[in-house]
Amino acid sequence: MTERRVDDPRYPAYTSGWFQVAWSRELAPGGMKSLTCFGEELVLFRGASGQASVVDAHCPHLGAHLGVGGTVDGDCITCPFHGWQFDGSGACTRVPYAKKVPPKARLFSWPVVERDGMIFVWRDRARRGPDRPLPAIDGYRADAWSAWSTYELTLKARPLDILENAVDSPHFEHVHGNGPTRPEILRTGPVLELRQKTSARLLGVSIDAALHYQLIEPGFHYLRVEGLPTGTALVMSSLIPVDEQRVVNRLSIALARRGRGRVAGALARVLGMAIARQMIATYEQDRPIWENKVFHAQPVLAAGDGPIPLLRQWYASFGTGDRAATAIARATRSTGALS
Amino acid sequence: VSRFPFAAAPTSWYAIAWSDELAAGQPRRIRALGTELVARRGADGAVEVRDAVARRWPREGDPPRRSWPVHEVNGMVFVFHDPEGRPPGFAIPAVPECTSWLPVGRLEWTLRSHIQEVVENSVDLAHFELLHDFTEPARLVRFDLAEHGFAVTVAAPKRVFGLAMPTELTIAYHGMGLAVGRVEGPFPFLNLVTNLPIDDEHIRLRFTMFVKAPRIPLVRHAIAAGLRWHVSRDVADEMRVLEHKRYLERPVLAAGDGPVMAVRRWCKRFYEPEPLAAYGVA
Repeated sequence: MTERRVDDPRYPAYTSGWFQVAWSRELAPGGMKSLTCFGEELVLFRGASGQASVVDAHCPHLGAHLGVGGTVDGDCITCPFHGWQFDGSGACTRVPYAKKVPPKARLFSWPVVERDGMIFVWRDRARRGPDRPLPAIDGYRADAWSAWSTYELTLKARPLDILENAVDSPHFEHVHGNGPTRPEILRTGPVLELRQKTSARLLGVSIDAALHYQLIEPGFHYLRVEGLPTGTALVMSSLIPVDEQRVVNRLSIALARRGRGRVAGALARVLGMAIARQMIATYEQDRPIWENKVFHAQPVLAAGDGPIPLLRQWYASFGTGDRAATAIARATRSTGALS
Repeated sequence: VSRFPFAAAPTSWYAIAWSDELAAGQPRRIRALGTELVARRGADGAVEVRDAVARRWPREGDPPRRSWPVHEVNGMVFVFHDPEGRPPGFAIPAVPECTSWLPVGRLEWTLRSHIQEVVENSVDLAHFELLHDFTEPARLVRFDLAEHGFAVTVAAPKRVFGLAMPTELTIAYHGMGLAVGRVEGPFPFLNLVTNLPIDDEHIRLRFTMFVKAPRIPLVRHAIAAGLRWHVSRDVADEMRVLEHKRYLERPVLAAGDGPVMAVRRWCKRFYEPEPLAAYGVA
């Protein structure tokens, strides 16, 4: 297939920011998971003490992939090739056959924050540390919401394609068959907040609802689905670019907790799953469009279109010029050593 | 973007088939060395290897079909590949054990790797313990570099069928396509290892194994079955490592790693685009 993407440096496939690479429950102590994010190969592991870490996948010694045959031993990850061990900070703690650990033996360790049942990494094109803490979800307290119902899907698209959807008012009517809608912009700046009226189908019943979006970072946004008879639903939507062509979308859905009992919990779970199913069905309607569209840096817009330029401006503010960064990352990889 | 900082097929002799795979009058198409070859055994028993005819109408400007230098030895058919089309500048030896010892089976794998990774692996002392059941780090007994070959001898106890046996393993490379592995000790063993670049991403690795044992069918079958099981298991983890690893041009090495960088320098000559005096080519 031919390449349809036209790269515009203002809208890179990968920006700086926080990205949710996994859910906490996917990773027990001693577990590991190979990841491909931002075109890079990474390994996520959890040591015996419970600390989750994300490191570059390839050993700086002779380049083996730590996630393919490697093991977690205590709080360290052990390479399958020669048994070198690295702790969560990326420092080499042991070379089994040598008395001295070479000073340059280091893996890049990605800044990780684990919160609310999710594991986030900080990604920066020049591999600098985070310039901001992981933003909190407004008013979220684990004990006030049901447990997350989760769903994960991979799309042949870029994060921006999916983010634009939130403000693309006419498509709600045309693609999803909802009533006409206009977005109400509540806040601009680093956080974009808007509300969109919609009709949601829940368990076969059509309900007038409002989608209250808070776009926090290119990597994650969340929305409250308001007006449901069951109370508010909270949908956390994470977008993690796999490479320049694909994106993983992780959805975590919780309902405002109404009671403490087992019945209330079970009911919340069923409704959470129903909302997830509804959202997935909506995504499946969007998918063929996202996966086959081209990106117009200068789209022709008509009256009645949503605030697409506003959203793009917001996205562009998170970082540009990925090419230099890719070159730096390649150079770092091919030497295996970090300065 | 290539996974490796060098060409897929350096100058060398490469085994493209086992001799018994080529019956007289039955040409065989073989995908190798970034192209498609046809190997044909004539009535006189000699093997001829040419570029295959494209599976389409010939076009003007199609390159002429090359005839490849062939050397059939040790039960395998080798061709000489040189990116510049130069004639062979070195020979590969006839290994006497291939005719005098008992053949006990052969194995082959196609994997996503580069032949240089396999060559470097032979001097990577530290990997024997973790991936090949050596009970302690391998000791470098000898390492000799020559113009078109090198030989390395490592020693350490190795677990075979649950028993730790003192093992002295010698691997002798002849170009980058052929290695003769010999294990000395109570059970002498010979492994003819051939590396064949298939395309930019894949290689084929073949083992042809021999032991010093009487030519009794029952003995042969028993040893063959045991060895196939042991050797397949012995290399399975390594294949996974090779398929997923990244080639680092400047690896961080530790004391005890073996002469990996010396072998890398030795390999360089096989990618050399200029005619080398040592190749006997003016």
